[in-house]
Amino acid sequence: MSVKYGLLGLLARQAQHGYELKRTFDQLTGGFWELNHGQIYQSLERLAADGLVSYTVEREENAPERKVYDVTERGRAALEEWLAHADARVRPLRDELFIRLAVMADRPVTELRELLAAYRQTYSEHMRTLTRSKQRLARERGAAAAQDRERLEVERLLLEAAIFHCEADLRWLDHCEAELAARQRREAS
Amino acid sequence: MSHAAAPRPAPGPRPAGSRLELRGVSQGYLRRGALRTVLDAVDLALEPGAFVALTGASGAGKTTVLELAAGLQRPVAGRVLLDGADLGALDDARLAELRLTRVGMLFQHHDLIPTLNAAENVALPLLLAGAQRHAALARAERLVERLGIAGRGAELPAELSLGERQRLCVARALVNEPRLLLADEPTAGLDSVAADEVMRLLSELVDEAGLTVLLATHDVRAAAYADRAFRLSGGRLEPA
Ligand SMILES: Nc1ncnc2c1ncn2[C@@H]1O[C@H](COP(=O)(O)OP(=O)(O)OP(=O)(O)O)[C@@H](O)[C@H]1O
Ligand SMILES: [Mg+2]
Repeated sequence: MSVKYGLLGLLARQAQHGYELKRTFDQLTGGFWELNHGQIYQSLERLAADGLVSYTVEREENAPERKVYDVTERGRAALEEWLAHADARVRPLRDELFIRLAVMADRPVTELRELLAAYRQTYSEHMRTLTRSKQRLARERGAAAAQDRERLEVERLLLEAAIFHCEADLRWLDHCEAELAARQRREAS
Repeated sequence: MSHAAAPRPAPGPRPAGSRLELRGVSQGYLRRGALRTVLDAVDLALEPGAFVALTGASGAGKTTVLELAAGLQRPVAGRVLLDGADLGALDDARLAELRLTRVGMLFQHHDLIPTLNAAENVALPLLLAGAQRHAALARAERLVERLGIAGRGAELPAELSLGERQRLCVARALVNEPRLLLADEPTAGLDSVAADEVMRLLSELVDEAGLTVLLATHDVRAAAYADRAFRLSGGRLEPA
């Protein structure tokens, strides 16, 4: 759903062909929302069928012909409508770890702590990767031309979303670890 | 001893980071007649230029490790080596000199001198090491320019926000061009934006100087600025 409007929004800025569109979409979402070419072309076909985008065929010598997509009046109206009605919903919290913990509830505390420690290492590593991206982005923004700054700014905010989520997971893991360690101490004494 | 600590003319060649090693270090306190172990035979090695985070619950012993590394505490067992030198073999005067010349410290409870202005606070370690007042202040001012509080070097700590004061502490810890930075909770009490500013500044300055860093923090965002992290739990160190 949001992909459809994401593509419309990008086309509303500038007409592009499918391949370019994938690149701008990837850039816009900072790599957190991976779309393959198939998804892009499928979405574009549906948008065209609904009359929300139109295309012209571009022919260049020695190159396969390609469709350059643009947003139609109807498409623009649909985009404005979507932008005007944010549908704020709480994201579902689903993770295999929760199921594992639930299933392991009556196992020895050491096993639970080992499980959480393994997750913590993975999440810490991910957090370091995200933080390095953030630092790189800050450097790029410092050197960027004015017209690129806004895009980099938004990219950074999206990266922050990933960082805050990862932080929440790590803090929750720390919290579990502290409680389980206390339980282990109680059981030992 | 002042000649040994004379400020290096910037931007000359930078000293490389120190190697810090804890070998089988144990630490404990007597409590109601019984020894309570805080660190239990901890091994930790930081290669020159390493940036390592130390995490763990409150009371896990993070500050204890930093104080051991600075020679502010002596372990009940094991050895702390700075560039191969056993801190246990040094007397208090030598340790004090070492801290002044080679170790930068950022304490958990920032301790800026309230009656000195921002630049003077940053310059203090240089002055204690015997630098000329004029040169020390000039260098401090240059660092202050990088803290995002340009032109406010004459203000007193009380006139600065908590985040700004923390950044001053970063600058003060680095003004002597140490080879090892020991930072204890530099983002404590800050919101995520101010915390990021402190960590960005710290990692920038650290990268430029190539120095070794041990960062104690329970802030998972701050810890992620390090290249590696360890977690203290039950007196032991585990990778995190
Ligand atoms: N001088 C002291 N005398 C007795 N016990 C002490 C002393 N200093 C520290 N401790 C104890 O050693 C343990 C570790 O303290 P430390 O300050 O190193 O923890 P920390 O990990 O830095 O905690 P925090 O996150 O709260 O700063 C705590 O249980 C503390 O009570
Ligand atoms: Mg502490």
